[in-house]
Amino acid sequence: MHALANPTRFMRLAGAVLPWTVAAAAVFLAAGLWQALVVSPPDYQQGETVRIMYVHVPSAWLSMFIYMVVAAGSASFLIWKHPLADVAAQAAAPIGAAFTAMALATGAIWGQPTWGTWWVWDARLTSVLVLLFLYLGYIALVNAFDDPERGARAGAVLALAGVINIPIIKFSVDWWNTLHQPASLTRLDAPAIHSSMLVPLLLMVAGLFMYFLAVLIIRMQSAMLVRRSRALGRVARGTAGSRA
Amino acid sequence: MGHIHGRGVIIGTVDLGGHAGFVWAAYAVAVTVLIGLLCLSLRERSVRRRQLSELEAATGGRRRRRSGGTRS
Amino acid sequence: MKAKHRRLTFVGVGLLLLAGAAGLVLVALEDTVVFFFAPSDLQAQERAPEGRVRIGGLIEQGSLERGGTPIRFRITDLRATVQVSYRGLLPDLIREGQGVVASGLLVNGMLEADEVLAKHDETYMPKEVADALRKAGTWKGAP
Repeated sequence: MHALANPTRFMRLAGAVLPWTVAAAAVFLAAGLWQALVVSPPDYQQGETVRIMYVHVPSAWLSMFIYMVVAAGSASFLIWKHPLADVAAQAAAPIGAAFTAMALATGAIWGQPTWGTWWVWDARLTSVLVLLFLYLGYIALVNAFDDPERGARAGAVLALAGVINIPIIKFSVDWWNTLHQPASLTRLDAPAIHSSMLVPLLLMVAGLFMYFLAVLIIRMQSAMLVRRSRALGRVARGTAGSRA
Repeated sequence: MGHIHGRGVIIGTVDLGGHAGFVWAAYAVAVTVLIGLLCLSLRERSVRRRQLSELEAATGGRRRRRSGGTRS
Repeated sequence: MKAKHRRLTFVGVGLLLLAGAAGLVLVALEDTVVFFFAPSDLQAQERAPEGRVRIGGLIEQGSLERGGTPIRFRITDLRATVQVSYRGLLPDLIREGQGVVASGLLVNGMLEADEVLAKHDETYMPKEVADALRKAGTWKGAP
């Protein structure tokens, strides 16, 4: 863990890992799409529409997982002042927002042919919409200050407060009557999903997770470049100032 | 829903039965979002890289050597 | 106490307070957070018999009359049932023994629905597997 605390060393390692995450994402997503669209069977109830599950469920899982990454980065930044934690949180947030939007859009497209409606205000759908607003609020807040340090701190507080929403999303389908069905995979007994449908689902989860890692590294590299530009600008201004 | 056989490749396209439009729309949304975010992120990185190298050139290239770290 | 520990305590206590507040709000708003009531909820708590309600449950076996207008069926939660009439198109997944959520006006204990949504469960399997399970008599899902 301490080896990763050094920003320069971490970024060098991340740069080396990046091509592998890209390759893994490509392989898993290609296999996952092939399984999801061609190999996997239609559902006994929903028929072909079940194939939407293979993009909807992974994007919904990742939208929550990435929020936990943003929150963990924010906590680590606020409490331990870890030098890369806010960089990671800020780099992850737009990816999480994209996955949340994807989960909402594919969910609406799935809801119309199965439930008979694009959208309802039940606890699950509403709490995921709140998640999207939390991401957008965090991104806006972080960029709302001239001083990046203050923006990072304000955003981190919002991200931590928003963590409350994650268990609400997860357990909304168990705590209240919702139109959305309960979890298929994280049940205590056997998962309620046949293995021929579980394989494409897990492949897509793996592929999208690798995609997340790849884009996260690229965005962190951007942030480090900005940081270096800013430091360089400060040095340049400093020398100019001392000359005057 | 009247699909004859759900699995299988028919004349180069996957036959998805009566609700094919919904399935394709969901995958189109997913692919658009994923590729869009990737392109935006890559473009931002190249913009930032150019800004840094311009700044380094302007401040006399003293710190040039240290910029290599983030190249992948 | 080191500054690091003070910040950790501050964040921890803040989160706990926030979780408590959110929990209280959600418990207080339970009736608005639930998307629908079950037929037995309606009986138990004597909710205003007139007015808009959303009722969810299973479509009772043998109760679905698709032919005429309005379409009629009964929603059951295996303890109580509510008769529903509905003018409109039913979603594909609506069938006897399947989940359903209907909303409309409750008139004399009967629901005049203007919206009927299908609620599906969390089981996914190919048709052949479902048929095999039914044949083997180990079927646990909806008929």
